[in-house]
Amino acid sequence: MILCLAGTKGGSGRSTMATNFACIAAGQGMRVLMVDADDQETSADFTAVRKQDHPDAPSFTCIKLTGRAVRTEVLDLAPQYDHVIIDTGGRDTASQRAALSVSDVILVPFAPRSFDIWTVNKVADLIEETRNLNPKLKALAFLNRTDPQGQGSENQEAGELLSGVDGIDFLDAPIRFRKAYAHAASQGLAVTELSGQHKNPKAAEEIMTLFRSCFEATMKSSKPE
Amino acid sequence: MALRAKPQQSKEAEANAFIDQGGSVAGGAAPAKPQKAITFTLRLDPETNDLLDEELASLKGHISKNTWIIHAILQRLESSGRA
Repeated sequence: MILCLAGTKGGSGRSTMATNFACIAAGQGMRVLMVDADDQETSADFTAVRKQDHPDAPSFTCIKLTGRAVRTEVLDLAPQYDHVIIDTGGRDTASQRAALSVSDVILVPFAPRSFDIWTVNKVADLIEETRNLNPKLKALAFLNRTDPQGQGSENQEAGELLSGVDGIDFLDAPIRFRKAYAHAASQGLAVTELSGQHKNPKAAEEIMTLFRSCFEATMKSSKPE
Repeated sequence: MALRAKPQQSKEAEANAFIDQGGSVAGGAAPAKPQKAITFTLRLDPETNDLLDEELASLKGHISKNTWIIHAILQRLESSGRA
């Protein structure tokens, strides 16, 4: 599966999800290619830290690509891997479009804040445009950085809004705002791999729920009618 | 002459047209690198150097020795019609 973390809003958590998904999939014995198509190169930096500090941790290959090369290289390399995870920047860039043109799934994180939610129509338009070229593209959205207590009405309102967007399926698998993600990222680990004082079972459970939901939704849509 | 259907745009051309509609990323398109200044050692006899220091000290505001020398070179080139 080729999964693209995308969107048109910066700071929504694409790199965090991309790196966590890559670690989890690698931990399940899958051959994973991570493509860092964001000029901030967060996923590439994360991978470098992981390989340096945790050489025995489940590993994946990470490459940096931009522009049209994202499409051409992914088309060439994808057959060698079980999963390709592409991390794109928070803008409608050539790199993001190239990623979308070859992806099976676009996964879009949205924080339950007005500025983030307001971008959903732009994302939906981009997905619709992409489907002219790549009709198989499945679009999934989820809430990221939600109220840790899970009580805010904003979470519910944002979920309802995302559920009503044509062409995008809403995954009810929110990721709450937790420091565990920052701790894990700084160590080159997924939240599921944290140990000691930073271990956070709730964060691990949430990300695993999202991971499974994403794959299940994709498998469901790829089954023949 | 036999009629022939209009050639279809290839899948890759279609993909490239779609991709190119995306904006560039900051730093994605390599900006023109500023030309690096050429550096070399300038040998000045102490007397000339002192005269230059006096000249610089007499000027209003701070002008570096480097800037003054560059201006002097440009003036000379200008007078010979090269600058």
